[in-house]
Amino acid sequence: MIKKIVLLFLLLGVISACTKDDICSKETPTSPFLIIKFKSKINPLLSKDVNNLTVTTIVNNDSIAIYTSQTTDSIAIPLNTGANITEYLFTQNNTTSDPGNIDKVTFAYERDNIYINRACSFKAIFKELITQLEIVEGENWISEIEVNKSTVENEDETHVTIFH
Amino acid sequence: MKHTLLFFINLLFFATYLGIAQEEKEITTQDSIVKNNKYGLRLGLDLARPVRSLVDEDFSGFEIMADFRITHRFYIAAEFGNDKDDQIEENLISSTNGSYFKIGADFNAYNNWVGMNNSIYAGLRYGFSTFDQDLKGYTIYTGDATFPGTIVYDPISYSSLTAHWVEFVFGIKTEIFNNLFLSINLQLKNKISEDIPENFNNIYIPGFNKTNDNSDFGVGFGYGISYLIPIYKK
Repeated sequence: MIKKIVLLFLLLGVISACTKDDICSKETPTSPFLIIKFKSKINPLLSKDVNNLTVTTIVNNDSIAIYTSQTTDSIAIPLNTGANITEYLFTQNNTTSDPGNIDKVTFAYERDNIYINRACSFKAIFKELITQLEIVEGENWISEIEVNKSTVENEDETHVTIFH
Repeated sequence: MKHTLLFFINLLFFATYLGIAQEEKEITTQDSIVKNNKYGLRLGLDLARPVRSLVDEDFSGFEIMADFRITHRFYIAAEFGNDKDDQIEENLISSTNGSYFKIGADFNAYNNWVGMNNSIYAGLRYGFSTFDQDLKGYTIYTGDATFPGTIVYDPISYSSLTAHWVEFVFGIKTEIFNNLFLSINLQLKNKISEDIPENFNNIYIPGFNKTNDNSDFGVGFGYGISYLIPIYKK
């Protein structure tokens, strides 16, 4: 009798010693992306596709593309969790035959690190978001940028609207 | 490494136990008129913690345990211990250091032959821990590889945290020599309350062990050696 119970215990001991460590599940909301919608500068209520939009950022002198030649009216882009500024290049009409029109937008913000759980550790949220469009006289395809939510803490709503 | 160690500790106890089982068979019936039920204070030491302290550089701790037999089947039982454990997770490193105290009772369900003092028991404990937690560093999780990972080395200490829990214990105690006992037990714990540090969590609680993000449950194992100081016989 005792022997059987001891065996059971040892078995439980071995099983519990082999449990898997927690893994950060993909469904857990972590550092949010910035949600941008594109609207018409003529009728600000209407969504308007950007033709062949390429979105790139420079990281350690390397150009990294988030979107390449996509026609869309909304994008989600990451903000740098290690800096208070992220710069993006938005290129319209970017195809293999045409380099397109490049506009540079700077996003500046404050960061807060918020605890999630053991596996995912911390996420960053972004506050006091402001944007700046680099003006090149007569060349910009973006006419105006509006910040809808200056605090970026989830991906449920549009944070920034770009009119073109 | 930790897992492998636990596995071998289990094996070690299993081997020890086979030896004991052999000895038991040799015990012959004794005169039933003799008062053979020993009552007294049993004091012991957890064996797994010191071994783990030697082998696992992220852990150090000890536990002393005591029980006192009050009736034929009931014992008052208590444990006191200290744990220091570094939780090295994929995305964060934290260190917990603190003491705990558990008090409750054990019920021996085993019908001993005359002269034997073994037990298969179930017990209930109230557990209390006071501890400090140091968050040493972490990475910011993004789920995206565009930017290089952000690692934050900004140690934050959370001190004088407390936690309370209830614990069910199931175990076996075997008398291997006169008045000397080996025991193994399984503990299932349920947290009642805790101080949750601001913008962090208790990821390890001394005595409760590793916490779970999604529930209040915890588990633990104990391997003990204890000595009975007999006070009287019944």
